Amino acid sequence: MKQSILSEEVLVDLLFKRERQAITYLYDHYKAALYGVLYRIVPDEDEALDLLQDTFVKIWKNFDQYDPTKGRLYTWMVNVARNLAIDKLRSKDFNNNSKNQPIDNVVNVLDSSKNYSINPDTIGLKEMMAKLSPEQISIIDLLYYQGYTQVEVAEELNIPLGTVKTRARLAISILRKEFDKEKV
Amino acid sequence: MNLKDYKSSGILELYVSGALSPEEHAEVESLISKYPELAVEVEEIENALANFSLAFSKEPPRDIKENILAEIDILEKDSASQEAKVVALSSTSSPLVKYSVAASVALLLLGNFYFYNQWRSTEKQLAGLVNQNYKLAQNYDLIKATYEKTQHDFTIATANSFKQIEMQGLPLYPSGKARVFWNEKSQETYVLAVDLPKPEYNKQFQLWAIVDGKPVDAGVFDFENKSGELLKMNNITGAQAFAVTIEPKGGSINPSMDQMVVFSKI
Repeated sequence: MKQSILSEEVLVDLLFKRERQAITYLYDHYKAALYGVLYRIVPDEDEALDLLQDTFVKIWKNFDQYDPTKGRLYTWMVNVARNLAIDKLRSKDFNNNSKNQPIDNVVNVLDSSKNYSINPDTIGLKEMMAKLSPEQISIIDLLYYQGYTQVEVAEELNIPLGTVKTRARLAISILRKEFDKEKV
Repeated sequence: MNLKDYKSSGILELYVSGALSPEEHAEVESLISKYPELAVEVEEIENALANFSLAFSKEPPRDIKENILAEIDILEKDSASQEAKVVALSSTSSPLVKYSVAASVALLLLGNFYFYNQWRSTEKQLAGLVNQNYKLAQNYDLIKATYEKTQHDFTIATANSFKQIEMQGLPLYPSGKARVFWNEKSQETYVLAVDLPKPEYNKQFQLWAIVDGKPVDAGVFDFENKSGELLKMNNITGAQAFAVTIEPKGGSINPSMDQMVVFSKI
């Protein structure tokens, strides 16, 4: 995050040294981002909150597994959060009637609390939305946030199995292009 | 192995999403460890998706910082006392045992003291960070409103109940592109301007719905509305097609057929 008070290197260094203030800092700065991801996957406030706690504890516990040469800290944290949430999603009864749930949940997300925090890094989202087709948005949503497999996505969107891959690549390549633009 | 084709296949995107079968997943993983080029690609895919996810930031309904810190403290204490226990257990009944026990007790006490001091310094830092957060929050009011609108638009864009109708450019403006989001049931109508020409200063765009073969006014909108934003228009029933024309400001009763920029069919 461009406006961090602690640079990523300093923060990572403190975390490797098991400095407690570092996890406090992570919580203050990333709780909304991670809660948002968790809530998107498991749209239940209490469950998502539990997962948020699990996520930070796991980040602390497994920090020696983070390799700074292999990627950004935030990306690693999102993966920790996502994996916990998707495990929870798959383990519960969610999946029994969940095939229709994801789209409905998108509507619920808006209707329920409006406690969204803001992140200026994502202003490019508007431009991105215009460039993605509705099907592309669905593909990213189903694959990345709803834990759908290839086969399930093909069924849900009524497309051939082979094309799920290529369409996912196209959709994500659009994201990559947009984010690369912002970096400049 | 043709890495270019492999990357183009999109299998890495599925891998990052966790959408592959366990066998496929393991297969991709071994290829990634073999070819650094694939690892770089995976990292870029992950970063793009992680960035995208920032858009869904949501304040947790409760503050659970103390819970997290408490759980971490227990973990740290456990591992500290494990070390102390090892020291105690590794010796037999000798004076060394007494010293070991004393050492482990001292370690625990020291640990408590350490955590207490950490907690106090953290509390002070917290006050500082809270203050900074407050200032940042004030500055973001405008951005927040923009963001909430974007979230709303995303909901419409992904909802099954909204039909999406593409409008293509006409000879007047061949590259024209716009999209209508129309909820047949609730009659709500939104338009998304993707590529439209800039009209003269005294003109506006007007959206029309073709109902029973006749054009029905769906409202006016401006070029200044930035692309990417869904604009709410008049409610419409029974649309067969949609079109956008350039009209004088305020719109017209009937569409200027020679000023049509985009057109669609349902």
